Amino acid sequence: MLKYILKRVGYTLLALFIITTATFFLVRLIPGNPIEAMTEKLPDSIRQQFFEQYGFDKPLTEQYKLFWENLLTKGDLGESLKYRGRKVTDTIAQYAPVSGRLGLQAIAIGVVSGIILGILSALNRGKLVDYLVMFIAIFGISIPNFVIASLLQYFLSIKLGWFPTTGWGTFSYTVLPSLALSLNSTAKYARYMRANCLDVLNQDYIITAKAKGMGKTHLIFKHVLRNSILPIITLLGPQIALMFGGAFVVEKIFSIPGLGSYFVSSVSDRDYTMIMGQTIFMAALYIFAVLVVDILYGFIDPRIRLADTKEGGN
Amino acid sequence: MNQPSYQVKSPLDFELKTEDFAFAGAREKQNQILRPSVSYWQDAWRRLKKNKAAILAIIVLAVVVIMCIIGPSLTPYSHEDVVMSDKNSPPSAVHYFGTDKLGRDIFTRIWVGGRVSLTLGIVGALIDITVGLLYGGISSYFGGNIDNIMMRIVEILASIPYLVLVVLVSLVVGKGMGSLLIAMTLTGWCHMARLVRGQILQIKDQEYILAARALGTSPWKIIWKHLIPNTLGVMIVSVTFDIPSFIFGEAFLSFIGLGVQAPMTSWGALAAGAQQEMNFYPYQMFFPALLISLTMLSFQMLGDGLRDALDPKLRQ
Amino acid sequence: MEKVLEIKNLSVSLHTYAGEIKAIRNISFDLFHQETLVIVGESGCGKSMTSKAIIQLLPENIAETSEKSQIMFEGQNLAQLPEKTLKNIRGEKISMVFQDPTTYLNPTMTIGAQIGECLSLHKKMTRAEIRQQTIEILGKVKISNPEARLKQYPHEFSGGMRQRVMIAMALACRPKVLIADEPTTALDVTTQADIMDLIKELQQELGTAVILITHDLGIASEVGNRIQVMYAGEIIESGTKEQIFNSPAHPYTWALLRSVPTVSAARTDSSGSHKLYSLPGTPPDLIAPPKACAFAGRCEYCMDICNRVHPPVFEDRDGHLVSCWLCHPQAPKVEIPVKTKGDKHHE
Repeated sequence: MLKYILKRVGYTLLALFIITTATFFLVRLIPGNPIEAMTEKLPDSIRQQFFEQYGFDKPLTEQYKLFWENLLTKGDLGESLKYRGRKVTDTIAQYAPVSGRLGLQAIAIGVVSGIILGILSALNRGKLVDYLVMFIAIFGISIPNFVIASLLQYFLSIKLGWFPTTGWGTFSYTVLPSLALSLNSTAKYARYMRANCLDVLNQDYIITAKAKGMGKTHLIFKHVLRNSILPIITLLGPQIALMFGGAFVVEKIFSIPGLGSYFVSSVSDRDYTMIMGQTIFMAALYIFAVLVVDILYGFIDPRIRLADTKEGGN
Repeated sequence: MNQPSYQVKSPLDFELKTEDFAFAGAREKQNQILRPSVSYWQDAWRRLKKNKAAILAIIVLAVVVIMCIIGPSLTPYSHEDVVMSDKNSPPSAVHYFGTDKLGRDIFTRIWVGGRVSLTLGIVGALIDITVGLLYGGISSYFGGNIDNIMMRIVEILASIPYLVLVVLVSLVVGKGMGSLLIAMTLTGWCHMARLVRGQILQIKDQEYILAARALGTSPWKIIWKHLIPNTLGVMIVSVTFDIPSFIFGEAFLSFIGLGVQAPMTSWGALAAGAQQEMNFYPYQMFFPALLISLTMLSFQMLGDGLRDALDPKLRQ
Repeated sequence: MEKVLEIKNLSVSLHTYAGEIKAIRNISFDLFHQETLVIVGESGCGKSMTSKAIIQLLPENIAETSEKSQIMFEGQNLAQLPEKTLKNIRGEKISMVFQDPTTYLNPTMTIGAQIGECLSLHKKMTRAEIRQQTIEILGKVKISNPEARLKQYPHEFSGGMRQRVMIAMALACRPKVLIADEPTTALDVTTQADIMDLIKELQQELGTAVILITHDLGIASEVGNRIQVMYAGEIIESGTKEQIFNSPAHPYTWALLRSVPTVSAARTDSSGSHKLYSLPGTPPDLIAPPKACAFAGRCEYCMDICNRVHPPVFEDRDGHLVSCWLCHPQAPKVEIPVKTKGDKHHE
């Protein structure tokens, strides 16, 4: 198990390094060298400071070295090119919690409703409930979340006035965006859960449990749920990070001051240092979430636990 | 022999004659009733036909494709015509789907945009599967260290959050269809490569391949007769599921301003433009959203249907 | 002798994609107190299906037990009982051991929890009592160090050990009937004998009646009191072990006996040919089962009538039942092509 974790951590660090490096060079590859162009507009004194700190006037390799130095020693991802003096890390610290809350709410809705719907449809396979749930699920997967967000906003807010249209504040502000964000994951979890459940229901050990004289409810809670929910955990990692990193479109539509909408603004402002910093942050978050979930899963599922001690990793 | 004497447990209701007990010749024996054998593709098609949702999806997709081809010529307008006097007009007999804030005919723009979105989806998925096939094929063919290294590369590439990377690459390569394709396929092929490799490895180890090899079947024949028929189903299904992700990706990029440039348009660009007018002219949002959703839904249902129809395990 | 289980006219069909498979076709048999009844037959003949049908464990969505089927147990017809009542019988009064202990044990639950489950479902016991009982049962199935083993997962056990766990689970509530569906097929030959011995031993200790499903005539001759031969969803011959092995009457039983590889057969075969007998042909398609004798197509002794009329059940004075026209008084006498006379087993 330890060997497995070390191996996974190793790959994660390597992936992070590659992504960071790629991001760094990609941004500098943008035609017309926008960083230089943008820094030219800055007042002399500030430009001087920029150059000193980030070495924009030096050759690429120098810049690259300086970038890592700043990142590793000071945790500094640079400053915004658009808003003077605004640090990328500060911006992330300011906006990420909003996205985080929204994301967690959406995931909670998605996971809970998805699992319930998935189980319901698996247990009623081939019946009306099953078709209904699968119908919802396929809609949830097929309809882009900006469509859902727009529809929710138009009907529940503008037409009915139940919720605020845009902005951020009390809980009622979070309802529509959370719903819009969650529908897709509800659908995903419902489908996945249904497949898992059906798979587990077809396992021989379910027959054993029935042969023991176990009733349906008991069977579902003790054997089916346990074994079919476990794999769901693996979906959680990427989901958490993606939501945290910002549901770009949904945040934009509801004008929520989160990382996602800020990222979109940075893109339209061509604020390259900001884009770079956020990209690295989101990538790191994503990779770490996947790593943590994978390791957790290894601890929870006894089958994986053994496979690893026997073979020393996948 | 000391055969014990048996008696019928419940008496028979008919008489038996001695000739009834004459031994039957070999020819008189019952022939085994065999079910007619059906080829894999015939069987798959038969099962797909039974799936009403999939058939409906095929019809919807066919209609959408046909409309994308002929739709723009059904109106006297071009997708670029700006008529400021006729802006934001609701759907009518003159403008079937209404006009946008520049007075452009939405009906025309929808089908022109559909060309872009569908082309992106289909070409993108084809690029993904081609690269994936080559990469996964090479990786599983050589095996050993090469396979190991190639798969590690895929693992790292796939661990980069997709949308973030797409945005970054779009910023570098610029706008337009080619750039969008590059951005979206740059790591999009990774899951295809994994899938191909997994399939090939799984089949390579199967007994019937071993048997074929032991019988001296040439590698090409094995690939043609065994590998391809057994992986093709999975590939077709994954391509079907891949197309909507491109359509969605394009819509997403349009939303954050990195999609195709005006006056050219796409479903994503139309939806993004309409979103800003949503509060006042919701009909502008309705048609692009409907077409995106309908197309994605159809591909989903078709993919589900194909998966069920092509799964050899389900065959009995 | 006291009848524990009485099965009458049991028919089961499976609704599959290809059509309706008539997997069990109108079979009747009894199980007596403390006896071991062996059901033999080749794969797909419906023997496993029969065992699952008894406690109504067939896949609900595709299997259908015909309405006139009767599975009488303690005055109740299991085929008609609602799930609620059935679940009190399963595991407590009738329990099952399955073929592959690897897939029939839940991989994410400890052995202790899985055995304890049977007790907590049927007996009012405290946790400590359950634990105590579980340890006791594990000891009974000869698993060493049961206290430590309780906390282990199935994958930490060997195949034979897992089957012992399955047996422990099945016998935890001291059932009246134990159905063992090919309990040794997935195991090594060396462990097979151990498992069979264990079942026999516990059967005597607990007074359980056993239905043993197997395709292995060797096992049947070892442990069976009575033997039933199934072919294409029907019971074609049944009798005591002696009747089946010493004076088999159905051509299919002859074929089965001839195709058993035995060390002694190879050695004593005087003709010098060591080739094993194999029955030509395949069993009939049960989607459209033959109306007459199902075995006729493969039978060496097939007669005119065999292709036209389904054979009735014939019975001799000692209760040996055969479903074959050859037993009809008017039928020609044929010589049994199998060496019998106790050279297969010694009593």
